[in-house]
Formats: sequence, C-alpha cells, structure tokens
Amino acid sequence: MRATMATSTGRVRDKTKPSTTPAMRQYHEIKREAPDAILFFRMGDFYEMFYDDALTASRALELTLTSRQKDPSGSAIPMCGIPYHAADTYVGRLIRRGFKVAICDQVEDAKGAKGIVKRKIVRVVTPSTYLHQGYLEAKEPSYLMAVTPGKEAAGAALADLSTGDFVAFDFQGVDRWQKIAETLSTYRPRELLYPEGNPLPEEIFASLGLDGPRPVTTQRENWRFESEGSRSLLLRQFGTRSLEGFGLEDKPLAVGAAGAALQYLEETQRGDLAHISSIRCLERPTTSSSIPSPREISS
Amino acid sequence: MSREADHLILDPVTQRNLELTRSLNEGGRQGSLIDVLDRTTTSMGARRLKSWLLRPLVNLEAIGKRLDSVEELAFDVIMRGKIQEASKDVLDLERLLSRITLGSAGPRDFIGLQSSLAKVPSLRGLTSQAKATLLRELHEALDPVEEARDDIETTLVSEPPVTLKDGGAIRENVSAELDDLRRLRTHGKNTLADIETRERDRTGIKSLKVRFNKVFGYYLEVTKSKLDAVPDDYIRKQTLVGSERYITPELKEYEEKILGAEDRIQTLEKEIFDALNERVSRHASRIRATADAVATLDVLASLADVATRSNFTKPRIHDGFDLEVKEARHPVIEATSQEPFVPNDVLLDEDHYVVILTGPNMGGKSTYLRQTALIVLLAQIGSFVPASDAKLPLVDRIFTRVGASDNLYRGRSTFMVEMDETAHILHHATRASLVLLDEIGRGTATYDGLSLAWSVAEYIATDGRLRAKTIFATHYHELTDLAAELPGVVNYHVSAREWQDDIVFLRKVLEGGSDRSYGIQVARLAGLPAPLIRRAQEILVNLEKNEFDLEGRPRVTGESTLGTGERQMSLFADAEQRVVSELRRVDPESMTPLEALQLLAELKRTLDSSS
Repeated sequence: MRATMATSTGRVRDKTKPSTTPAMRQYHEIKREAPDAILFFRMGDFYEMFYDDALTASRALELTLTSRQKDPSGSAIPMCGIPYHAADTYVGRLIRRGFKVAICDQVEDAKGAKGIVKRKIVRVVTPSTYLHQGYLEAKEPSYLMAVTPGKEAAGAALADLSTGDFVAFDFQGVDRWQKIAETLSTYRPRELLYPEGNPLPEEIFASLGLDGPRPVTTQRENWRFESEGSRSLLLRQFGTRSLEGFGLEDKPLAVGAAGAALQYLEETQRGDLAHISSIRCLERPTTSSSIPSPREISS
Repeated sequence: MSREADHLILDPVTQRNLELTRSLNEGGRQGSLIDVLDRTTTSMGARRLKSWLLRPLVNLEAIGKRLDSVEELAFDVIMRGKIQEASKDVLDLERLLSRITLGSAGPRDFIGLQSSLAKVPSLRGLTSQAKATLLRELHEALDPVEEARDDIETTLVSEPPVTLKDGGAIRENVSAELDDLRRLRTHGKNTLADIETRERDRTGIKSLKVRFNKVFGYYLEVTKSKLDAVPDDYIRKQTLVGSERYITPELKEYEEKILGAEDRIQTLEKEIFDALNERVSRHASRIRATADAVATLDVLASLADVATRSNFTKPRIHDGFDLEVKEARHPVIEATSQEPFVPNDVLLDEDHYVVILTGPNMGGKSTYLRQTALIVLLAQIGSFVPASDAKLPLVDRIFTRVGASDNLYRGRSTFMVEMDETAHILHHATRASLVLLDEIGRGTATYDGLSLAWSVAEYIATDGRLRAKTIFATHYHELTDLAAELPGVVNYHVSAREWQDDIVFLRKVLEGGSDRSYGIQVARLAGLPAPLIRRAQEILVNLEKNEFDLEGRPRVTGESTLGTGERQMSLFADAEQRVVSELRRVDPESMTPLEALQLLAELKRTLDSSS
C-alpha cells in the first residue's frame, strides 16, 4: 500500500557512527513491528509521526510538517504530531482513507522511569478493527474477511471483532470465485486478507457494484493460512480438543482462513479476544449446474 | 448453534435488484425492504435481521420454528409489546462485551452492561409461558449472568464519569485504602478552605483566594491593589498583570498530602477497575449467548409487529413445486406509496411454470416480479408475507435479471451486462429456483432482442435441468405465442385501458397476453412533444401492417428447428433489408429508364418470394 519505513531509514542509518538519540533508536525498533501502519508514537501529550509516516499523515490530515531533530547523517527528520486527546478523530480519518494506524503508548510512568520511558504498540487499528463508536454503525456489522484459495476450492472466514461473530465457509468447485463474490456482497467486509503471491481475481469485486466500497486488501505470509497452525490456534481460542463441533474438521481451507483472520485480530489488538468464543461453518450447496460458465473456465 | 443449514442463495445482482438492504434510487436504507421490516428495538436485533434477510433458510423445520414463533408473538400482542418495551433498554451487548474483553471499555460501558443484564430476567419471565419451540429455546438461553451484574453493581457507582481518569468511578466500601485516601483528600480540601478564610481574616484582604494550577500547585492569589496588606511570611511565586501569587510552607504541606492521595487514588481506582474488567471478561461466552438470544427475540418480535401492522399472513411452506399466492402485495411499495396498492394472484405450478407477462411499461410488471420474489424470500427468513393466502415451495435460489442495475457497471455495455447476468442464471438455476426476468433483450436491436428473449424463455421452459418457476416480463408481445407452442408456458398481462388516446393503468394481472405495449402512450405521459407522438403513431401503423404473415401468424416467430440446434428466423426481415440496402446503393440519376424498371421488377420479386 505504501512505501515502508524500512527502506527510507535503512538507507540513512550508519552503523559505525554513534547512532541517533535514544528516543529515535526506540522509535526505529518499534517501527519495525508495524512496517505497514502509520506509527503514532506517544511523546508526552502528543502522538508524533516521523519520516514517511509524517509525510503521509501530514498530507492526509492536513497537518503542518516540521522537522525537529536531525538523523546521524545530518538531514532533518520529517515530523508531525497531534495532541493525544484528539487521537480518535485523526485515527478515524486515516482509517477511512484506507490506512492502518499503530498506536504506541508510554507504558510506564515517566516520573518513575530510569532513562528513556518504556513504550510499546498497544494496538494496531485497521478498517475492520476500529471500534470507536463514531466509526461503527450501530445497525451494520464490521467484518474482516480472509480467503484461502485452493485448487478448484476456496476457504473463507469472516470475523466481526466488534461483536465476536465468526463464520467460515468451505467452497468446493470451479465456481469458487463466484461464491467468494457472493460472500463479499453479502457480508461487505471492510478488510480482506489473502496469502501473498495469490492475488484475488479482480472480478470478485465487480459484484460490489459502484454503491459498495471495496474492502482494503492486505497480503499476509502464506504460512498464516496453513491449516495445521490455524487449527491449533482455533483450538486454543475456543478451548476445545477438536473442531468437529464447529463443522470444521476436514475443511483445511476454511480452517486456514479462520486461523489467518484470528491471528490478524490477535496481532492488531494485542489483547484478549475472549468474546470470540465460537465459529460457525456455513454450508453452501454445491452448484447443480453441470456446465461451467465461460468465466469459470478461464479462471 | 455451531452448525447451520444451507441458505437460500441470493447472488449480488439479486440482492441489489430486490432492494433488500438499500434502495436502487438513492442507495440508502430508505425504500429498501429492511427499512419496512425493521422494527427491532436493539442494534443487535437490527444487525441480526439484516443477516437473516441476506441468508434466508432452506430448511423446512428451521423456517417452521421461526414462523411459529412469529405467529405466537403476532397474536399475543401483550407479550410482544412487553418484550419490545423491555428490550428497548438493552444496549448493544455484543459491542459492549467486545470493548470489555479488549480492555477498551470505560466505566459507563460496565454500567451499560449491568443495566442491560438487569433487563434479562424480565425478558425471561415474558417468555416463560411461550409455546413455540424457538421461543422456549430462547427463554432457556436468556441468562442474566447475575455474577457479572452484581459484581459491577457493587464495584462501580451508578453514574460514573466517562473516563476512569476523571476519578470517582469506584464505589465506597470496595477498598478500605481507597476510602481512607478519599477522606484524606476531602479533609485536605476542607483545610484549604479553612486556610483561605483564616488568611482573609488575618490580612483583611477580602479577595484573597486559594487556587490550584499544574505548574505551581496550590497558591494564594492577591490582587495588585491589596499588595500592601500582604504579610511577610508569604513567598512570592509569580507576578501577573492584575495580581501576585504566593505560597506558604503550610500550604505546601497540605498540597503534598492532597496530591499524594490523588495519585494513589488514581492508581488504586485503575487497579480495581482492571480487576473488574478481568472478572467480567471471564463471563464472555455466557454474555454472548444472552446477547444472541436477545437479538433473535428482538427480530422475531419485530417480524410479528410488522406482520400485524401490515396485515401479512402466515405462509404455508412445503417441499413440493407449486407456488400459489392470493392477493399478493409488494411490501415496500404498499408501505410507501400514497395510492392504494392493487393486489395480484400468482400461480406457478407443474402445468404453468413459465409466465410470460406482457403489458405497458409502468403498468406494474416489475412490481409483480419483485413482489413474488420478496414473498418467497420473506417466507424463508421466517416472516409472514404480504398476501391473503400463500402456499410456497422451498426455493433454492432466487434469480433476477431486471434493467435497473444497468448503470452500476463501469466500462461494460448494457447489453453485455444483460447477457452476462442471463448466462449466469441459465447456468445456475435449477428446478427448485425462482427466476425473474425483466425485459430480456432490451439492450440490443429489436430483432436480435426479440429472438434472444424468445429463445431464453424457450430454453428455460424446456431444458430438462431447468424448467424452473419463471416470470418473464417483456414488452415483446410476440412472445405470447410461446404459450401456444410449449407446455408449461402461460400468458398473463398487466391490464391497462386506452381512454381518449390516453392510458389508464389498472395494474391488475390477468390471464392472456397483451397485444400491445402502449409505448407511445407512455411516451406521451413522459411529455414528449405532440408532433413527435403523432409521427410515432403513423410509423407504428405502418409497422403493424407488416407484422403478420398470410396465415395471420406473427412473422418473427416461425417454426422451431430445435432438432438441428438451430433456430430459423423468418425471411421477412432479410428480404426487406435487402430491398432497402439495394435502394440505398443505387443512384437513379445515373440510370436509364429501362435499368430503373428492371430494378423495380427485381425488388418486387425479392419481396414476393419471401412471403
């Protein structure tokens, strides 16, 4: 989606010289954890953004771009900031424009801190995981969708962090993309995860028409969609010994998608997801058509 | 609850065409089916209703359970009223719970959870006498989670501040240490007030005040005019335009006590609050189950409410083929239109499963199509339906192909979209599907369109796999000939009367075909200029002269040669076309009279040989 920090900072940092200030060292360490999000770095009463994040955010939020410090090579570090109490408004605006925001707070009292105050990312806010009341619509769900493409099959999972609703689909047959398109149109997820190197065919979005916004799509590493790891993750989450009760045994693609979705939520929330306590596997009748439509043959 | 039966499939086009959750006009909720249907009192119920609407059931038993509950709630007005009244005060339990388990809930979220859970026993009581199976199940599932409720009640004050930092969210008697610190703080503040009074008396400065800011802490403020009266033991801290600020050792001593207590109070309140959060989170799955039951009960009550208000009837659903609805209405148009709605019967059975519906534009063809689909869909979510009587088969899919979605696609021609959607239907429909086609073939040249419309209808009616219940609305009245040729096809038309060159829509669907489409009259209604309308009428008369062949059959339909897989069109179009193009080609100026005469004879031969 955007150029990540790693490239711009990696270029200018020189390991042989005494590095930058301790605060900036800490910033770089934390930024590495959220390369694809805009990092809100809490400094006193402000959330500061640096480098590319500052450039992006200052444009998106119409903030004044400044540069306070210099990096070791002597060039100015672009910076902009917002008062911490107004963070929700700005986070909302960035999310609506399709960005993700990593919130990094001071996690110890500055008074008692020795040296630099401890900071960490407390959550990553994404289009499907932003639960601010002004952003969620009371009568609409807010789904995250994950898709695992297979050979003449596909798995899909939808999780609503705001309610704990969690469903999975196992699609068999050459018309799997048609079914994915139908699922997209029914659930209208805000965000869509797919394994890297497996781009989803453009036609699945056609069904959303011009009236529905497209979900923000995010690539994730392939291993996150693998069924074995996903299975253990789901068993741990639900506290069960098998997935049979959920109708998910022998459905590796659906399990993979469910695991990928759950893992993403854990990663962004960095907290307990106790309210996601079960999953439903919804069945779809296999299409009785013996004639695949032309589009399906070509896909 | 972990496994659900299959669902009726509504493809994206159909979801949009039927305006289930948003209207085609403004794209908003208003004018959509859900807008008419949603009388839920909780956000959970509203979301649940939407999910039911987009995923109707295909399981007789499950549908029956919902319908029986809706019926009971429709008749038991008192039970329904009380349920709706009580659930009004239930907040969004699902989202409250998610904020709590994610640790982002504030004190008021907990109070919201507590007051919502407090309503559960009355909902439980209201359903205790219910007879319908699903209502009984919900009664059992309504768990008030008293442990969580009591815990919140004894830990938090009943009207806490928005954020924990504002202080005062934790009740007295929760922590002895907290109570002590609060007393100390109150005492300290009283002492400050005493100091203020005492110093005023001592110095004679009436305007002397004890104040607080973040930089200096507590200080004494004296206006410039009274500086002479300031005693020596005051230590000056800050000079402002109109006043000076001082501190005293005594003041600082109390400050330390108060601020120390303040800090400790904040820490303690947070600890107590976090522990409460942790304890309540442990009940997450029970609270979720209750939320689930409240949502379902809310939807059932809402459906019952709508059924009563809008005079819906309980459908009888079976796993056979026949669909028979008496006095069917369109739920949205009926609810929003000023005019009285004209109800119509629908009959689709083994002998008449393809209806060719003709009649003028604006005459109500689309409404008839949509209301049939909506009635099937409503029945399969477990709702009553807008009709006086409805016998409905379980439908596996509803397909629609109507013109209205044309402009929703970028970069594809109307006709291509139309054919794409038609192909989708022909590939996926089964005998158990409901297919609604509106003006197939409209997007291309008349004869292409008519031939396609004809063959699509024929394909659906005869293909062994398909033979689905189909309503085929068309302005090609030529299609009415299909009924004579194919079993299973029947003609209906929406009635209209011509009256003094004008048109009156009666909107009643009657058996038999319509012989004309009244397009010109409709154009007049739309305000096209009068001379243009007159000219159109002339052209129509000319066209109609040529419409029938010598046997009185429409020229375009001809005989099917399905054996070879080809369908022959009448030559009539070809011959006339050839004559026209020949006339276009020749240049009379450069012809001799003889050549002209020969050409005329040849053209005449061409035409004659084709009829």
